[in-house]
Amino acid sequence: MKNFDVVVIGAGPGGYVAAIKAAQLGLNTAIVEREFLGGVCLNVGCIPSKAMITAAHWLHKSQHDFATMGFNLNTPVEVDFPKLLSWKNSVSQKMSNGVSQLLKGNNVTIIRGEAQFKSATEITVNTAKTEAGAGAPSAASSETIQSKYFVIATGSRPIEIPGFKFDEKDILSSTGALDLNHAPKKIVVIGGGYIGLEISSYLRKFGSEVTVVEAQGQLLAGVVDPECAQVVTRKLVKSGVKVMYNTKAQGQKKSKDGYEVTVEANGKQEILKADKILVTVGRRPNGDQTNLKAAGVTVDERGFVKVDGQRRTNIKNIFAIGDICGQPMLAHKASYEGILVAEVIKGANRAFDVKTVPAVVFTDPEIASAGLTEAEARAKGFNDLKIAKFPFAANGRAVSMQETDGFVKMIADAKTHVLLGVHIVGPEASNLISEAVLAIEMGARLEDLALSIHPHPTLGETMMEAAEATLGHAIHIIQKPLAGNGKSLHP
Amino acid sequence: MADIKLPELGEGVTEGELIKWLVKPGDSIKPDQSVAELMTDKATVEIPSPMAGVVKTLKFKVGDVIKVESVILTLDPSASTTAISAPAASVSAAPAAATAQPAKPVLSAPTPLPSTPTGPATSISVKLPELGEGVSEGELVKWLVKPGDLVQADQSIAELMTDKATVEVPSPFVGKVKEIKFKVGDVVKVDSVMLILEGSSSSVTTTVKASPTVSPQTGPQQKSATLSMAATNPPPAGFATASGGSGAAEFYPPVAESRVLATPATRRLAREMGVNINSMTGTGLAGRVTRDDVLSSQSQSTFESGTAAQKVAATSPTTTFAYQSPQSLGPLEERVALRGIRKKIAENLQMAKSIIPHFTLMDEADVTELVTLRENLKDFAAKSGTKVTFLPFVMKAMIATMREFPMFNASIDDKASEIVYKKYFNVGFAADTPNGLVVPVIKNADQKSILEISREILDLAKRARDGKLKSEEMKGATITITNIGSVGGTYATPIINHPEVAILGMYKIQDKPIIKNGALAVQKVMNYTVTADHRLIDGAVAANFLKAFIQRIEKPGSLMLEMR
Repeated sequence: MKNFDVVVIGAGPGGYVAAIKAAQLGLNTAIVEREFLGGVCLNVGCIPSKAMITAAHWLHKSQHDFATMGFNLNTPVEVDFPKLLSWKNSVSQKMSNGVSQLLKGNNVTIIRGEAQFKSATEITVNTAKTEAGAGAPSAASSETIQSKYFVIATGSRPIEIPGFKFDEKDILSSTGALDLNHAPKKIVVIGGGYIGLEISSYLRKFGSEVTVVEAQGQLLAGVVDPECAQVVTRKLVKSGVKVMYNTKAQGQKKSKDGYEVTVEANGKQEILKADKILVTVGRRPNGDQTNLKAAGVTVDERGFVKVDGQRRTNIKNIFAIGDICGQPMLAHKASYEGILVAEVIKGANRAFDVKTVPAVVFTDPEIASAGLTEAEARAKGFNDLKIAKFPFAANGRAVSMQETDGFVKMIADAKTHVLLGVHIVGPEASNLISEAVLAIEMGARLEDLALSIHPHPTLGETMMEAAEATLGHAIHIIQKPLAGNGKSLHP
Repeated sequence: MADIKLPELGEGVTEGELIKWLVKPGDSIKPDQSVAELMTDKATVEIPSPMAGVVKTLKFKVGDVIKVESVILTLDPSASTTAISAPAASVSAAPAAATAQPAKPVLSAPTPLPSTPTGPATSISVKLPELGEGVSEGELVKWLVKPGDLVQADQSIAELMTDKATVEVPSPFVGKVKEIKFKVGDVVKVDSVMLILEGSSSSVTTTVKASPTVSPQTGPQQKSATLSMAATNPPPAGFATASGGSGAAEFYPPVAESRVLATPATRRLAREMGVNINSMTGTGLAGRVTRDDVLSSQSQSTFESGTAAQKVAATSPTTTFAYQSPQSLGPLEERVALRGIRKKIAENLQMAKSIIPHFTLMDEADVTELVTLRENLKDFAAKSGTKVTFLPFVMKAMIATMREFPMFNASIDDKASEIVYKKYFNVGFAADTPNGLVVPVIKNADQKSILEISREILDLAKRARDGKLKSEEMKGATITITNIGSVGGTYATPIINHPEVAILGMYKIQDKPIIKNGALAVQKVMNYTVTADHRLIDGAVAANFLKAFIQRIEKPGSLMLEMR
C-alpha cells in the first residue's frame, strides 16, 4: 500500500499548486486526477476560452478596424474552424503538459484515477491507467492509498437545469461550447453570467446569432460593478446579441431544423429557435463526489465542503481548497489556497488573509475588479466615500488601439484617501487590475497611485489618472476647480 | 541495449540544436531524468529519458542539429539494477529489526518503467523542528541513534540543549538511519537537516499503524496556542477522530479586518508572531500598522519592559564589550562560546539588573521550632514516600505573608504604566545544575500540601540536574526563592527574576548564642533576605514583610491557622 504525507485530490489550479508547494516543503506528496492535469481551468475553462476569445478578437478587428487603418482586405478573412479548434486544443495541451512537468520535476507522484475516501486517512483510487513515460496503459484497477493529510481540490461542474440535459452536442455546457467545430447559426444562451457572456461575445464575432436568456433584470448581476456591466451590455447589444431580461427558460424540444426553446417572461411564453443551446447558469461544487462521508467531512446543502480560515475541514487532517470550499469560484483563489494549505500542513501559521480576490471577465471590453464595490463599502461602514471614473477615451494608447470603450473607477475612503475598490471596464482591464490588487493589499492611498509615475503612452496611465480624478484634479479630464481656487493644493 | 530517440518537441518543431549533454557515458539515469538541453526555434527544452539505464553512447555532439525521432543516445537498461541498488547494499550492517522490512531491491525489469513510487529506498531528511518561541538553535548533546538503526515515527533521535532546556528531538518519519549530519557539541539551527533516513513506502505503512494513539503534540515543541504550531511533526493516524462539528480547528490570530491597514508581509509577520493585528494601533500613515509596530508589540501580552530591557541590554556597553586578550597572555586563556543556558542566564540577569532598582534587607530567625517540627515529621513523610526539606515550609510562610503584602506578588507593565497584581502563587526555586542556574516553578503552590510540594521539588530538582526540564516548567513564576545559603555564606544579595518584583533568600541553619529573656541560650538560627524592586516596594514595606515572614517561620504552628 502506498503511503504519503500529503495526497491532493484534483489537479486543477488549486490542487496542482498545493501539491507542488507541499513537495517543495519536503513533504512526500501525491496528486490524484481522474481527467486532466490542470483541471477545468487549463483544459475546458479559462485557458481554451481565452484562445477562442483572442481569435474572435482578431477576426472582429479585421472586419471593423482594419479599413479605418487603411488595410484593404479584398476578400473577407475566412475562418478554418477545425484548425482554430486544434490550435485552441494545443494551447490547453501545452499548459497541461507544463503542469505535468512541474509535478514530476518536484517529485510529486501523479496517480491517474478516481479517488474515493475510505476513511479519514485512506482513499481508494480506481486507476484508469498508470502515468508512465513509455509504459503501456495497464488494465483498470483499484488501489488503496494512505496519507497523513488530504487536500480536497475536486472543484465544480456546470449546473444542469431541468429539461436541459447536457449532451454536449446540441445542449451544451461551457465544456461543449468550447469544443464546437463550427459557429452555430443560432444559439440560445441560458444565463447571462460571465461564462455565458464570454462565450456569447466570441460566438457573435464568429457570426452566430446569439440570444441571451437572463432571469434577472441585468447582465452580470451581482458579479461586477453595475456601471461596468452596463458598458459591456451596451456593446454586446450593439454587436447584435439579443438579450431577454427577467426571462426564464422552461424547456426545449427538437424540431425539424433544430430546437425550439420555450421561455417565459411576465407570464408570457415565447418560442426561440436554435441550433444549439448553451446553459451557463452557474457551477456547482463536487461535494457529492469522492465519498466525503466516509472521511467524516462536513458538506453543506449546496455541496460546499465547510472549511475554516486555514481551509481545514472539520476533520483535522483534511483540507479543502478552490471551488469545492466556496465562492468565489476562481482559479487564482484556489491557487492561493493551495499554497496556504501546504504551508499549514508543514506547520506554519497561515490563514486566508487577503483584502481582495480580484475578478476578471473576458467580455468585450473586459471587466476587472478588486476590492469593494460602492455598495459593499457602505455595507462595511465606510460612509464617506470618494468615487470617480477616468475614461479610456481620454487615454492616448486606448485611442491608438481603437479600444476606447470603458473607464477606470476608483472608490476610496474620503477621510483617509485609502483605496477601497477599483473597477475597470475597458481594454486589457484584466492586466491592469493587478496594480489595483497590490495597491489595496498594501493599503495604498489615492496619492500613492497619483504620485507614482506611470509610463506614457500606456493603458496603465488610466490608473494614475483615475486616482487623480478621485482626488478631484485629473489632468486629462475636466473637473471642477480646486477648492478656494487652488489655494489648497490638496482637496 | 535501448535506443533513446528525440521525442516530439511540439507542434511545428521538427529539429533542435544540441546545447549541452546533461549525462555522459557510464552515467546511471532514472526515468524522466533530463539527458540533454536542446534549443528549438521556440524555446530551450530539456530532453527526458523515458527509461532507466546506464548511458552507453552519445550520438551527437554539442552544436549538432537533431531531427525529431533520431536516436540521440543508447542505454543499457539491464545495468540499472546493479547501479541503483548499490547504495542499498552498502548499509547491510543494519540490525536484525531492519531485515524484517528491507528496502526493496530495485526494479529489476529492464523495460520502460512506470513512474510509480514503489520499490527503491528513498532518502528522507529529518530536520530540526521548531523548538519554541525565540529558540533558533540548540547544541547537540547526544545522539540517541546511530547509522544503521531503525527509527520509528516520533522516536527520539537526539538530545539538544537550547538556551531554555534540554529537549529530545523526535523523528517524524520511519526509516533506517543512513547518515548523521552533526557531531556532539555542534550547534544545530532550526530547520537544518540533522540526519538522513532511508525509508521505503512499505515500512512507513507499518509504523503509522503501529502508533495510532500518539497525541498530535508530542515532543518538546509544545507551545501555547498563540504561537505557530509545532513544525514538521505530522499528526499520527489517531487524529482523524478528533473534534467533530463544523467549526473545524481554530487558528490564531484572526484574519485582518477590512479597516486594518497593513501590507500582506506585515500581516503574515503578525500571524507568525501570534499578534492580533486587529487590536493594534498603527503608527504609520493613516493608521497603518507597520512592521515595527508588529515587532515591538510582541511582548505586550507579557511584560513590556522585557523587550525594552532586552534592547537596553543588547545595546548596553556590557553586552557589546569586546575583551581583548593581552598578547602575552593569549595561550593562558581559553575561549569558549557563550551559548545555551549560560547565554540565557547572562541575558536575563543583565536585563533584570538594568531594569530593577534592587535593594536587599537581611534578618535572622530563630528556627528551633521549625527544626523540631521537621524532625518530628520525617518519619511521617517517609511513610508517604517522600522527604521533607525546609523549602516547602518557607514557601508556605512566604505565601501567607504575600497575602498580607500583595505588592510582592506583582509585576510592573512599564508600557501600560500599570501594576499587575497576581491572584495566583507560582513559586520558583533556584536550582544549581551542572549546566548552570535554572529556576523550576511550583505552580499554584498555595493550593498544594507540604507533602505535595516536597514531592514536586524533588522531582523538578532531579530533572533540572539531569537537564530534562520542559520549558513550561520554568515559566510563570510570580516570586522566587533562592536557597544558596545551604551551600555556604551567611548572606547574599540575589538578583530578582524579572518580571517578578522580589526574591527571598534562605541561608544556612547554625547554632548561635542568642539572648532570650535576658539569658544566653543556644538556638537554631537561619538567616533570611528579601530583595525587592524599589519601584514598587518601599523599604519599610519590605521590612514589615520580612518581620511578618519571620514571625511565621519562628512559629511554624501558626502556618496551620492560615492553611487553605
